[in-house]
Amino acid sequence: MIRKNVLSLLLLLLPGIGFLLLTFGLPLWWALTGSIGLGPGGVGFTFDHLAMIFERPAYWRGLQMSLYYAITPTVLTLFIAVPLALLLQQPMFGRKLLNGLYKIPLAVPGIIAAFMVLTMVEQGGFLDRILMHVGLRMPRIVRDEWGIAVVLTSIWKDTPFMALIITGAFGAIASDMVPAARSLGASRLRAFLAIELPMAMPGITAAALLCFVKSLGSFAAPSILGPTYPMPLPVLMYESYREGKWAEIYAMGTVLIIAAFLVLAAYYTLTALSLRPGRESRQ
Amino acid sequence: MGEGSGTSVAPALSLTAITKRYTEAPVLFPTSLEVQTGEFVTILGPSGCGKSTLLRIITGIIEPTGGTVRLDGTDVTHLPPERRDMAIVFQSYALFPHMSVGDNIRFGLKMKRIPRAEADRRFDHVVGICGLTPLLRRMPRHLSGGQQQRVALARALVMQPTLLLLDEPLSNLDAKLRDSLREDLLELHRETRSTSLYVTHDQTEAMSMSDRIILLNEGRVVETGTPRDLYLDPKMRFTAEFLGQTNIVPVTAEGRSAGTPWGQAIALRAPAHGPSQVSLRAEALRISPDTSGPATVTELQFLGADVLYSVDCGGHAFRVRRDSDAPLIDRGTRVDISAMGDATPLQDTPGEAA
Ligand SMILES: Nc1ncnc2c1ncn2[C@@H]1O[C@H](COP(=O)(O)OP(=O)(O)OP(=O)(O)O)[C@@H](O)[C@H]1O
Ligand SMILES: [Mg+2]
Repeated sequence: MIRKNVLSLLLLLLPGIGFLLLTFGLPLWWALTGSIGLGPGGVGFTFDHLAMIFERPAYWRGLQMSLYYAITPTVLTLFIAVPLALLLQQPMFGRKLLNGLYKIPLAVPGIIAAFMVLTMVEQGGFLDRILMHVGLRMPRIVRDEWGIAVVLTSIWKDTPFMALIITGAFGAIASDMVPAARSLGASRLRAFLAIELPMAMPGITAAALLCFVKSLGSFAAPSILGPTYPMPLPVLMYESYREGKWAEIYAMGTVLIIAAFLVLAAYYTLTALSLRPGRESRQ
Repeated sequence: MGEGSGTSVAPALSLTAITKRYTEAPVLFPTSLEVQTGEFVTILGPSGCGKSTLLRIITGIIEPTGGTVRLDGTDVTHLPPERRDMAIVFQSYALFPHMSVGDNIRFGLKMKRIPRAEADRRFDHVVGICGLTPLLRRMPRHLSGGQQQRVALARALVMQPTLLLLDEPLSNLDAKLRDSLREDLLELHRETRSTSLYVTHDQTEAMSMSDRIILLNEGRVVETGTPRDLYLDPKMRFTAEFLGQTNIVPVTAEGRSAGTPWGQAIALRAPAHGPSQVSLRAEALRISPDTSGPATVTELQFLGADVLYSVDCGGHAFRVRRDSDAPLIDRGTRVDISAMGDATPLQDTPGEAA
């Protein structure tokens, strides 16, 4: 009886889960097995390819660069997107216009954004020529050691994306919350810190995570604007692809996936901890 | 009552000519009112008449377009909410969803930096009288409506405010719970002697709880008085119609006497001349079967303790309440009709006259 139920349940779930397995699970499985030398065209079980990423400086620095390109813009964007989201809540002149304008970068593909930034901030570029009139020069921020133009591009692309999610998070807070806090003695700032920010936190962290994962895989900006050494893993993956080194591609892909999963796992652990009942109370 | 009549007698709350307009039409016309220390005053009015707006102005959540708010004689019109000594229970309760019940109640104590010992004492007291001890570690989303209401109340009471504001705190609850919480609220008021301004659109709630009722309609104070005065002797037509069921009877006045449509002369409490209106409650009218009577029974409803009759008298419809142990009068019976007691000629309120 029970077995029959389980069977029919599995049959019912098959279309959904099957689709996921086929389109998502299978490639993932290939990447994972490929990275340890198994699967079609593999050389047999080995950790060599994975180990290579941590041994060879080009790859090891590449991994660090990937994390740098993912974390830096995400953190910096947070400092722009949260105030922007708050500003967009205020009744003010021109709010509707600002509300439409700030979303424009969302509609610009990453590669175009990269070229836009290039023509703007390059030495000899648009800003440089303007500055020349007042006897100044643009500092070198394209293909510089810190990948400043890459970070700038990510910020430019991610700000509206994050602000959109965070505006939603703040907007979902019931309208009586802040008045309630204020009438209980909280200043505008303390009401924000003690009530609004914690209530919007799930939205803010979700936005930050999405941006992190997006930037972790970014390809266009680092290859156009970034330094030639070290290159982040996605760019290195493309180079390996041109040389047909599939085992290395699998290995780098696997490492990137693991990095993203580690961050996600940390996120879920933290939220689960902070939502555990009783923790909030110091009774 | 002049302005400088001494600080010791200053009312807990006094509003002078408060006005508010959001965009175009005014939501509040110049509104003045006072609440004395220890009093339980209700602002009663239909939905949308500006009750919440008035409360928000008193707490400082919104600024009035004009007028003055005084708390214990001090002008607080331009103080931010956190610097006014009052607490509010919202229509929606507005409990902080990310804090436990205990932390919700402690929030104000922390914000106002009440010393630890004093804070603990107040906390324990309020938690005790609101019966929240077993719920302190729960999150608000795991509470029933009535429990949330008690937490919201405790969170306000623990502040020991000069003025406690309550914005329809019972309107989201079912009828049974509303009745029992209404009694709890009154008991709490008696225990804490907190000066309270209560907002509701429910006339039964207003009449059963208040020392005084301020009747509000379309942004104007219509009439103010004790529940008994407003119910038994309304001066305004709006008051008569809003509180309980009544008959607005057209009369022809001549000084202190007025002729009713059924030919009876009734005494007026205030002189009037010519066509006018009085309010006669359904229980102030009497009918008895009389084949030559001026009225006809058109409808009757058995309500338990009494029977509500609809009668027609020369084209006017009236409602009459009779004890249910008196013999029933059938539909279509001709009856004699008479009014008990005297009445006050009614005035129209400025807003509704148009
Ligand atoms: N922020 C606002 N902007 C414009 N108009 C508003 C605003 N808030 C309230 N109003 C209007 O002011 C009037 C009074 O609203 P208010 O909330 O004070 O009514 P209320 O008496 O509390 O009603 P209820 O019993 O339904 O709570 C309404 O007509 C409402 O539409
Ligand atoms: Mg209201």
